[in-house]
Amino acid sequence: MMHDRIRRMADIVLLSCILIAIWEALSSAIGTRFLPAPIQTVGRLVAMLDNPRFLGDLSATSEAYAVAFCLAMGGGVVLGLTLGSSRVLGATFEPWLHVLVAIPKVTLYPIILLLFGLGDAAKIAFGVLHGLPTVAIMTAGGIRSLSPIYGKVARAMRLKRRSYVWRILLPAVMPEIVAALRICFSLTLLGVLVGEMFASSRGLGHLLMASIGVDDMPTVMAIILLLFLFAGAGSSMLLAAAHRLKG
Amino acid sequence: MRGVGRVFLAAAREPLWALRGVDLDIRSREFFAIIGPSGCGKSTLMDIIAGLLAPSEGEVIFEGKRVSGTVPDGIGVVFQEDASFPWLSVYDNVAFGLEEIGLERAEIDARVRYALEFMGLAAFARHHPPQLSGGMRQRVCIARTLVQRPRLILLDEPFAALDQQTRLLMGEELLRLWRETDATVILITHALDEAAMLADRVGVMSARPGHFIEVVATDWSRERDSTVVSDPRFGEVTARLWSLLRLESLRAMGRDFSAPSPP
Repeated sequence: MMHDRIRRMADIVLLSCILIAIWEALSSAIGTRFLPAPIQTVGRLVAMLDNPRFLGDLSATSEAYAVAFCLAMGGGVVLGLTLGSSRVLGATFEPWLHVLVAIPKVTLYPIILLLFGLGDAAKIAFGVLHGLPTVAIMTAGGIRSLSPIYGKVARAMRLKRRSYVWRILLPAVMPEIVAALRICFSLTLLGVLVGEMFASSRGLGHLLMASIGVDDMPTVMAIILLLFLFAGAGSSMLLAAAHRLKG
Repeated sequence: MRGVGRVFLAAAREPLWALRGVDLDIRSREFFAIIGPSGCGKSTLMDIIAGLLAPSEGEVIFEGKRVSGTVPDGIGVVFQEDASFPWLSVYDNVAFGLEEIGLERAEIDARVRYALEFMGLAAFARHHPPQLSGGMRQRVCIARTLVQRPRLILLDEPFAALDQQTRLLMGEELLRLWRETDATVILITHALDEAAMLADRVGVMSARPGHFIEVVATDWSRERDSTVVSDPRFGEVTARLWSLLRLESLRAMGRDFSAPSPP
């Protein structure tokens, strides 16, 4: 067990070294003006973390992301449980969710702006729009793939509907919910950032667009690195949780 | 049970009668086994007795009350499939139903510990079902039913997925459980030897639509165990059951039961 963990860590370190080496090589080949070197990027990121204005943007994105993630996850699970438990509701509404997943969400952004206006509400809504349908579809699928024996056991034990949902249905689909959480984690982040890029005056997405506009590549790369580290760490933790649930 | 029947309706198809005209009286504290050809409606009958399914005709009476569509208090069911909850420990699996009815913690603990001890699972209380063998998981399900102290235990082919050796041992445990709890047991099985070894009486069902064609008494003592298989009468009981079941199985397979067997 311990040996496996050390080996996995060694693999991650090795892969990171290879990626940094490729980045360094590309930077040397293209020029640091277009692709800043790893050390230059890390230096800019450290400096930015000391800058109150950047911290304000980081805080704005974090807050919007936290709200959007909770709404997408909570709403997705509730909607998934509802659609998965009812054949009629599932057959009626799930195809629409699949359509929502398939279409490029950017095309819906004008409608989101009309509904929520410019500001935090719009980017939160855009984040939810990215994450919620996938969570709902995965949760509903998890419920439908459950063995019917759980329903029979619940009836044989004379469980009330509420107890059945809380004590059997939810724990039984938890592996699917955690898998959905992982996907929701990245999709919602994407939605919030895209929302900030198009119609916001603060946040990392806005800063990214502003930096691209003034050709400030070190800042662009520093933001990308920060997002990469955040998404990587979050995804790894959720993957570990999913493995633990599968036993 | 009086005149119990169950029909399944499907669009653009003839109504399918799984059971029809099922009459049976089960005595209190009796161990009754039900055998029948595949698809004769054994599991449908169990669902009806349990109250999981309403009969299309006839009635099931348990302790003087009609059973229909809901599982009455006093009936415990063990299913063929692994129905343990993999996210709970063995202890929590067994305690599950008791927590639901709101018993005191001490009472729950006492009942669960007794059931785990009884089923030989005490050392595995903190394990989770995926860490156990198929036989042990089925014992968890039996323990979960046992703690509810049912007066009628329904078992739908609970040992179907187990090897022969484990089946024999599980059969002995089931007999011990039946003796010590004073419950009435109805066991559905497709194994003739299992039915002949365990039951006081064996009901043989016909091909679909299922009904009882004969009830065979085994006359074993209440203190029996798996050694009854060496009793000369065991062979007679099994032969009688097979002679009844063979014709019905051929009929269920769509073959003429009066035709001579192929060489």
